[in-house]
Amino acid sequence: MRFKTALLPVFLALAFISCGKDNSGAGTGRPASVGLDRNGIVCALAWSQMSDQAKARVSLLYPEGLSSVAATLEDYLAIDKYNAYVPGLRKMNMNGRYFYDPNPTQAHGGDCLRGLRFAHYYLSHLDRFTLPDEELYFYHALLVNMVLDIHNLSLPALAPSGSRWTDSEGNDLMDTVCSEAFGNFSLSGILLSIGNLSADEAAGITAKSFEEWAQENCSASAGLASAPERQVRTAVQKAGYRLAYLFNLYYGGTL
Amino acid sequence: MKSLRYIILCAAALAACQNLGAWGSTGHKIVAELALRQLGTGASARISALFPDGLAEEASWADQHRHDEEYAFTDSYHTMAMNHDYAYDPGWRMWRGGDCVTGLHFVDYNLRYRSRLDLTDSVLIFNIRMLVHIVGDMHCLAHGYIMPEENHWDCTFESETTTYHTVVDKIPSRIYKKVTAADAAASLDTYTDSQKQECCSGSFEDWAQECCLRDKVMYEVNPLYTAELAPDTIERLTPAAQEALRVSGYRLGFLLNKYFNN
Repeated sequence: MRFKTALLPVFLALAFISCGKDNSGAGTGRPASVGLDRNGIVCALAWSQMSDQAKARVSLLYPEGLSSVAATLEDYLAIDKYNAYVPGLRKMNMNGRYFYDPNPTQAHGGDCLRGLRFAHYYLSHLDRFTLPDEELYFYHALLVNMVLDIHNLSLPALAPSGSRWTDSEGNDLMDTVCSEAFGNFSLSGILLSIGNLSADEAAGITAKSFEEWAQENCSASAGLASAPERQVRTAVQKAGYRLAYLFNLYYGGTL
Repeated sequence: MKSLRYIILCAAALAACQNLGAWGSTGHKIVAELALRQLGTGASARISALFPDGLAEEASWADQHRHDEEYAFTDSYHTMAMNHDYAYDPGWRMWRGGDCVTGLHFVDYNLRYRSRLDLTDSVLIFNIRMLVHIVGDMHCLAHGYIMPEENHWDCTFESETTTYHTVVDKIPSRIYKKVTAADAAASLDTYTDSQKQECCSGSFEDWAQECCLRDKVMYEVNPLYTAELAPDTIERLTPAAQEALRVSGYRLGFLLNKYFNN
């Protein structure tokens, strides 16, 4: 009896780790990635870089996997108090020289940098707030979406025209190129190709400020026309490593 | 008759102006004067060139124009919210367009990257005016609201009907009614260099959190919805108000040096 009791934490830990592995971050547990969207790839990469402690926490909160988090934001938009400002955050502007520019959006609800700072503030200060479940899940959903947005090369609109990168059918060019860049790879192949950074290289990506993330996205968006696949792969890679960094910060015992 | 109506309108407008401004014009001027005392040569020259009438004269511009259509988006930048544990809580004002911290991030970005953004001098001046005011407002004791309550409740103080917010806003003008803003700033400039450095470290969110903790004294002296304010309210809040002015001035000076002292 005592033997079983002593082993219980070990069993639990193994269960969490096993649960995490089954999730593989992609949410559905599917082995290959044909048709895997940008959210799925970013979340799978993030999952591969998360600490066991952070994985355990995320698995408890999201049994369907990390990639299920982003979609939950839709549910919150039906609630007035969230719908009042969340749609306003899903944009970004740059000037003609591809410099991030908060001015055109400031009077219209801000942009994804504001949204990212907002979600990060609560999640990095969970000790100060007794958040009801509804809000905790909301901040996760907002965070994941803002990380995806701030690494979306199609998102920065050129002021004053407001034009964005789209393909010939008007679809978001980032997602189109992403499908082309990763469409023929298995999930493990994708992770091998973009999830193999050294510790120093990864630290170089995660050490930058949110503001620098925004600036990088605007600068890189200039290359979406000339070297789309390379730019998209880099942006997806950064998003994955940075999302992992944030979840490790909140739940990995490093905060 | 027409001239009488004109006089009454002018008097009403003047009275309204008197109510404008978190720290009142006195508090904001003191913050600006204290900041000016911290500036290096380069920053001082740049600010003097941009504001020939003096930075302190511009310190309440943001209050006077917050309801203009062109600047209405800045209206929410004058205050911030906290929860009942005095933790800075940005969620309450997000739907209104943000708070002091939102405003600070915005003008900070513009001022740091004014070259890459090709800001004209008039836009630059707008951003500095906002900066001077927002830093002051963030530190104003009455501008951290415990949500969902605010602190505009009606009350009595010194036999007059007023609001607690108004009473606290007027503290600087009561403490320093016999001295100039520059003299008041000189009397507040008591920190050592290392103290100044320490108070200017941290993020805007850290500054906001520290301000919320300082605001706590307001509610210790007069809990929410106190109908008749304590007679010694001013005396008991004066040390916190002075510290808020002092820290605010140092931080404003720190930021202006960061942007212009190169």
